[in-house]
Amino acid sequence: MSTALLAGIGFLLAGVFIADGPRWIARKLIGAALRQLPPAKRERYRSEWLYDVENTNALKAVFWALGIYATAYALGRDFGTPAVSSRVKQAVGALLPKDRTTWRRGILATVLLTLGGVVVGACMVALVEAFTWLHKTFSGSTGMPLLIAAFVLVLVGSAALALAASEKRREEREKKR
Amino acid sequence: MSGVERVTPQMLRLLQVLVNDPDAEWWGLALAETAGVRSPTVYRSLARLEAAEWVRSRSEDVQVASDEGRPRRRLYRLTPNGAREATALLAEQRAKAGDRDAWPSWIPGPPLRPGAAH
Repeated sequence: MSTALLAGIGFLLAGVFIADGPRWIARKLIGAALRQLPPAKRERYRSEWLYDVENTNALKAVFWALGIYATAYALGRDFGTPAVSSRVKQAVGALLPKDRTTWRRGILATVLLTLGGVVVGACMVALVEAFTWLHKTFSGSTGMPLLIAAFVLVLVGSAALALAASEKRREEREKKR
Repeated sequence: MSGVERVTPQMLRLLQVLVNDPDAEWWGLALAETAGVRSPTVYRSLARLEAAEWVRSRSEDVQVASDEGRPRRRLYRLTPNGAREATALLAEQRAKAGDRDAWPSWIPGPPLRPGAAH
C-alpha cells in the first residue's frame, strides 16, 4: 500500500518536472544571463528573452536559453561589462596586500611556517622511529616502563627548565624597569 | 562604409529579412527563425544594428502582452537610413559574390517568406 502511494507521488513529481522542468531550467539560465549584462540593460532584455523561452517547445527553450547565456556574455562585453577574467583579476587584487612590507611579512611567514612544518614533521617521525626501536628492543622486559618513565621525566624536566628560564627573564625585565 | 561594427554573415541574413519588408516590426525569435539563424546571437547583431541606428526598437504595449498572458516582446524595425544602408550593403555583398543574379549561399535569397511579425 505504502509502496503504491510512494510510486504515485513519484509519478506525480516526475510528471510535474517533465511538464515544467525544462522551462524552469531555461528561466534560471535567463536569470543567470541577465546578471551578465549591465544593470541598466537587464530589464529591457528580461521580458524579451522570457518571451522566447515561453513560446518555444520545452526542449528547444533549454537550448535557446543556453545560447542566450553565451550571447549575454558577449553582449555584456559589448555594453562595457568587464570580462570574467578581468573581474577575477580584480577580485584577487582586492584580496592581496598593496604594500611591500605586508608582502615581505607574508612571504617570510609562509617560509617560516613551511620550515616549521618540515621540522615538526621530522621530529615526529624521529620520535615514532625511536619509540618503535625502543619497543622492539625492550619489549617484554622490565626496562620498558622505566624508559617511558625516563622519557616523561625528561619532558617534564625540560618544561620545568623552560618555565624557570622564562620566569628568570621576566624578573630581570622587571628589575630593569 | 556601413557604420555597423563587424558585419557578419548572420547579420546580413537578418538585414535581408528586414529589408524585405522595411515597415514590418519583428521580435528576436521570429526574426531569427525567418532568417534561418538558429542561435540567440541574433540579439548581439540587433544590438549592433541598433547602436549604428540602422534599427530601432520599442517594447510591446503592456496591455497587448497582458491580454495574451505572456511577457512583453521587443519589436525591431529598420530606420529609413538603416533601410538605405542595408540595401547598399546587401548589394555590395552580392557584387562581391561575383554574380549579380546569384546570392551567396549564406544569405537567404528572395523570395523570402513575408514578414511573420505584426
